[in-house]
Amino acid sequence: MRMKRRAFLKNTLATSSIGIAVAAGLLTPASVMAAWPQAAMKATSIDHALKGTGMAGAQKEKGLKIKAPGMAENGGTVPVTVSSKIPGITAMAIFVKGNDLPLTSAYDITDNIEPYISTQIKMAKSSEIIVVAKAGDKLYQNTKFVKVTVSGYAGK
Amino acid sequence: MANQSIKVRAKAKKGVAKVKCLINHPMETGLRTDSKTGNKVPAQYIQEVVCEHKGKDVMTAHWSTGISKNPYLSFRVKDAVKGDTLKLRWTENSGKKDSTSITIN
Repeated sequence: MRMKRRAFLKNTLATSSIGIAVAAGLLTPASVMAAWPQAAMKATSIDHALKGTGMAGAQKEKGLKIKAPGMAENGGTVPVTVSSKIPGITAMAIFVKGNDLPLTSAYDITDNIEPYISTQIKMAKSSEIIVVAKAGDKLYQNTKFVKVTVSGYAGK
Repeated sequence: MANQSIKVRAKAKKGVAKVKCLINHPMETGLRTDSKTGNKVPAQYIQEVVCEHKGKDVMTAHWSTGISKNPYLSFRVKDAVKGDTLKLRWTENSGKKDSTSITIN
């Protein structure tokens, strides 16, 4: 019994310290993450998110391929694969228009990897997935509509 | 616990290694409420995943809470042959880190 009480106390302490760490992390992101695009990640509209990553005003490009299901039953895990044959891609980002926080992820692509990223994202509702790629000073984007049956994201 | 959070497989074919990794992580958005206590579950998510090959960071992923829990990530590393070492590391919003290294098959 006594052991359990100790464990309980320990757990409560651990949880609260995580909370403090999170708060500290949010206040001083630069010291923790040098390159993490804070403004874009916290942007609540697609326009702001695109601007925050410096990816606004991209031209539509079919050569930027998005592989995602046309209909996703569980919005919590929507598999997305982005690939392209456009030369010189240095960055790619995946946005979901219908999410409260549209930017799901951004990737730095070096010369040492192929422009290919496959991951799973959360989607709040049926929406367009927007993928933007940066090659040199040019921006390319492509979209794909995914129908979501059960929401998997309530994020702010 | 720390060493088991990342599972990676990498297979080289014609100089390109296909890397697949699964990270065991809750990816909490900070909005979910704990049904027992009624308190908000604090946000806890991976912000950065970095892959290192031949001493160079070849891929950096910046993630928000919009990535699914127990995240899956796959990418392809060029100029990789069997026997090369790949290092993967992630950093959480709280500053917590973990890393692993594997040999390409």
